[in-house]
Amino acid sequence: MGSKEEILKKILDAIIAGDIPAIETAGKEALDSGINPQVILEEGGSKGLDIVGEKFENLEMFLPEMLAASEAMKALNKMVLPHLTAGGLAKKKEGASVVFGTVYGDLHDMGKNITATQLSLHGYEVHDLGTNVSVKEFMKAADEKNARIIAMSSLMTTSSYYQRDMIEHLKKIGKRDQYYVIVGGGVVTEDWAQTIGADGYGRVATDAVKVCDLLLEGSVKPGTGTIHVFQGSTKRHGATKTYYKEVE
Amino acid sequence: MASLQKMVEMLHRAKEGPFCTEKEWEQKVIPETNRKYLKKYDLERKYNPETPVNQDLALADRYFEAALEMAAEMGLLCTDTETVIKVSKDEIIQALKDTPDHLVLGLYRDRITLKARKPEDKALPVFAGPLCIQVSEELFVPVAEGILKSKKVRIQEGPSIDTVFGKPVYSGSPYETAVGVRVVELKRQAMRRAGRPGMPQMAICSSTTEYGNLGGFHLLNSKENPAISIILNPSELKTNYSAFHKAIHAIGCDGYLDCGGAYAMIGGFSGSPEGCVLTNIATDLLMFTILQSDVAASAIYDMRFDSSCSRHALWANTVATQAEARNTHMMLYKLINQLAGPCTEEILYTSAAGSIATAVSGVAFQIGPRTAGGRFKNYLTPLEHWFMAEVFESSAGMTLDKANEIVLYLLSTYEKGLKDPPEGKPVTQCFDLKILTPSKEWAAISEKVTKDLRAHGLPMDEPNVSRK
Repeated sequence: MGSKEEILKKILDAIIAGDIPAIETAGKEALDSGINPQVILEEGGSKGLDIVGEKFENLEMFLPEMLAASEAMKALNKMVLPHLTAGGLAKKKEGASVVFGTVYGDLHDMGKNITATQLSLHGYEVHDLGTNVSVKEFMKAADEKNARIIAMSSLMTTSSYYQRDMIEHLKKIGKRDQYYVIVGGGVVTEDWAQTIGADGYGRVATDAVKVCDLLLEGSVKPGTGTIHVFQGSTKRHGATKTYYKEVE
Repeated sequence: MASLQKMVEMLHRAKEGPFCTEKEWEQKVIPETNRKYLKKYDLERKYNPETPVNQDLALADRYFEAALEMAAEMGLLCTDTETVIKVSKDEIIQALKDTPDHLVLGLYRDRITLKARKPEDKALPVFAGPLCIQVSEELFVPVAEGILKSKKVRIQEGPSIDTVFGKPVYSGSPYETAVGVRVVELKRQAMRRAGRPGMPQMAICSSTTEYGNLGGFHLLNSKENPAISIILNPSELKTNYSAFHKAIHAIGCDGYLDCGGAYAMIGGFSGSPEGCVLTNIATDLLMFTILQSDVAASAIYDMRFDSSCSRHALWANTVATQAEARNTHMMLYKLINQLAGPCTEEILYTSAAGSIATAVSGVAFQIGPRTAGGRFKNYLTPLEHWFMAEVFESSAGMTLDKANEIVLYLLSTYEKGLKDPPEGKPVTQCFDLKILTPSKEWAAISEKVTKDLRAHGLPMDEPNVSRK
């Protein structure tokens, strides 16, 4: 058995390579050698993901490789998350199921795919419902998968109306306090998210991870009027630095 | 005109074709086939940051040869049936022979001939606009009228509305059928007010699904003035039933087909800029063969910025355009995705870079701009359309070398800010729609950039004048 650093390096390399058998071996080795599960995830898995992100920015890795890394991270989460006992990640584990889709009448899937990948990379159990998903289908899947978050993507204004319909439907059937609803996509803005009473909004794919982390690790219940907004900028509609604000 | 019988044959191939899930197609078939042909034709690592306008035409030809073979191997995935529509190399070559090299569009003084062009072609390319950017219903007519006040905007496409008589337009619902009818009324009002009732037409905006086309396309199309039906597809090397619906409806109306929107993303399933060149060309070839498109309309975006104005994306789009323009007589356009909004220098600099790069590489026309990336309602004004039309036409006859020199300069003005583009101002804050004149601030920005472009060798006219 190698040193702690060597084992974590194996995990990191397996994440970057998207190598599931290697991650299973290294993950088991890490747990057997008594490395703190949180450290395994953060210094092995998450660090590997950071490198994947950098490589993507430099066009050294592309979406298919990112998806493979996401599958490897899922495998690591599956092994390690049950060993967590306290803290933010443990809390996330209890409610990390997300149903995700592009809304009805909208067939665009690139943004949804990238965001779903980002969420998977960061430990979320994502149920991808595809495109052209009706409110009824979102609802059915959320109930069946015991989800905590309903994530709705829309590229067009004309399809973003269904995001509002989802929230209104949840209110009508008395389940608004059961599901967080987060929205994003081409034309979707912070203003729109606030107007319809969403729980979260992100401008780009990585924003969704931060939004979901905040929702599940925080104490705010769904549908209470607080919205977590990440859009990577100090500007209203910008896209670089990360920040968030809460609107009561 | 496209043939209904051939379209039904392709539908049948979709029904009977080999099964492939969307996931397998995107994550396995596209990347693996792409890599295979890049290697076979020695096309890897050819991107050159010093030539955002590609100078190596022999390289472009090699990409074409590889893409032709790749298209014949792959076909298009129909996402509704999860089957692959296969065609042979001979069928692709025949489709390229059959496709028109020009279209006569419009009536009266606005009659134009849209023609295929070659790299460094002296023939004027045609500017169309606006794209399907959202505006409030009450602003549709004045904004569209303002845009048409430039005679260099020669085809009308958008804008879009997301309400019909004040009610929200829900995608995939009868509201979309209704908005298809409504936008035709509004476009006609705008054309009459601009004194251009015979404008060539592309349609239908405002509708995500086929319902808008089914509602309005036949109203805009006529025997005397056939319109071009906008038929968007999901992404590279994919199509769907919605595209077939629109294409078949356009055939029934004796209209023309613009089958595109199947963008390849740098960083996405096609991977590198080189990989995107290959899939982009293959996609266009298959759109002509399978959906019988009359014009080729898919482009390459850079996923990191959601833009086609990055250095990598400009290079990739110019290579693909040159490859197709030199080896076929397809009428091409490669959409430019600007990210900055009106009343900013960035929207003009990015528009200029994309316009010059694609015009000298051989596109027949261009539509745009996609002001503020199309993200915000009412973020489009006539001025950036007048500006882009002037730049686009002024690029005719320019050499690839000169275009590269100008584009390198333009990149230096906006490249660092691509991740954080300024959103600019909505039309109501920087353009007087009563007198169709830009605000002093917006006019001054345009004058400054125009002067700058002239100083760098672009012989453009002054776009920044009151039009009423």
